[in-house]
Amino acid sequence: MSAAVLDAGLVARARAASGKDREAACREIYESLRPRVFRVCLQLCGERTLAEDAMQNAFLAAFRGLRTFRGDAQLSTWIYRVAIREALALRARRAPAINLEHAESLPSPAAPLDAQAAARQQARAVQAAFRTLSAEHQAVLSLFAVEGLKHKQIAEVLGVPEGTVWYRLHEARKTLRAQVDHPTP
Amino acid sequence: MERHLAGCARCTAERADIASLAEGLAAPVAPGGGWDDLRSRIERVQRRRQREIGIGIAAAVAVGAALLLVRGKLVGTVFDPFGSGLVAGMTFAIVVAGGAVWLAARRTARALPGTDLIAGIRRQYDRRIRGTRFFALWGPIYLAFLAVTASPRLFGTGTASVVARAALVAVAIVGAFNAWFRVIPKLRRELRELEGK
Repeated sequence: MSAAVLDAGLVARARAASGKDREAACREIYESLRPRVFRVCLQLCGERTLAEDAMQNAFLAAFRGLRTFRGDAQLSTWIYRVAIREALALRARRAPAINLEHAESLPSPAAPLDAQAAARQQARAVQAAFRTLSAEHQAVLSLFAVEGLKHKQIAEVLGVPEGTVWYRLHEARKTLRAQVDHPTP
Repeated sequence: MERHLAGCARCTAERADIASLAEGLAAPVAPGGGWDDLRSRIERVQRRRQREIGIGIAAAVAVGAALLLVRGKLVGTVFDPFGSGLVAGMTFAIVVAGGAVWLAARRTARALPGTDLIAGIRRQYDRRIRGTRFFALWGPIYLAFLAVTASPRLFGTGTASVVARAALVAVAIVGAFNAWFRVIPKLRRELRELEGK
């Protein structure tokens, strides 16, 4: 099953059923969306522990509110929205220092040492620059560049017109590029 | 738009730049927290909710009983228009519980598709800041007025009355200081966090 497009029957089971059947449906939804939701949370929180908390809070809120979900959009869209809310809220409350622990694993171990060091440095620069962006720019970049969502899907997740997604993406790229090339403290 | 992207050199270059930047963002990290973790969190939250509901009911009954006991003393005081202390207490408890349920429902509903997600979060912060400012300003004024004007039937007379009235004012002032110097700055900092640097 695609992570983004969940089977309507599965969603209906999770909404309507009770007991073990409901739990099985929720589990299937969770396993299906977990990696993607976690990546978005990690980008927005910048810290693994915080991202895991945000992801679990998001699924918890989504499963508890599943009966209020009208089905106007895909369930994944809604869960992304809840996850972005949770991630931004947790990050704001804890105001963590920039943590680049997940950048360490970026370069391939097979790459030459110089290349590894350069890639690590570049990753650090990009992630430090990413932290300076506004929440709108961070969200749109995460969903587009990391998750690979289309503009239309991003528009649905963020609840803005598609043109706004294009504009925000353009602005986010410009700001990020400027910050990476000429970092300001 | 996707068709335009495929044929536009400028947009293609922009997309390539985003892809090169994304290499620094896309971290190949496996998510932690399997289903069992989530299930235990769900159970924890359910237990906490049941406990909170139990405490809420017990508190409502206690407040209602306390008001029932003191209702005789309320005659002629500022609280007199409420009538029976029990009714006032239960109404208070119902309003608080209803408000809590409504807020919890809104929290999830706000995330429903169709509204600008991040603008909604900003508006929520603005409302919380305005609300806290309102109560921090008017709360102490109201409680000070209450402390000064309340009937001796409520606060008694003599030193005990002065202490009780002063305590009410002190609580109001501490609450206001907490709101002005801790809660509002914290909310403002969280709001700034959304703006980036």
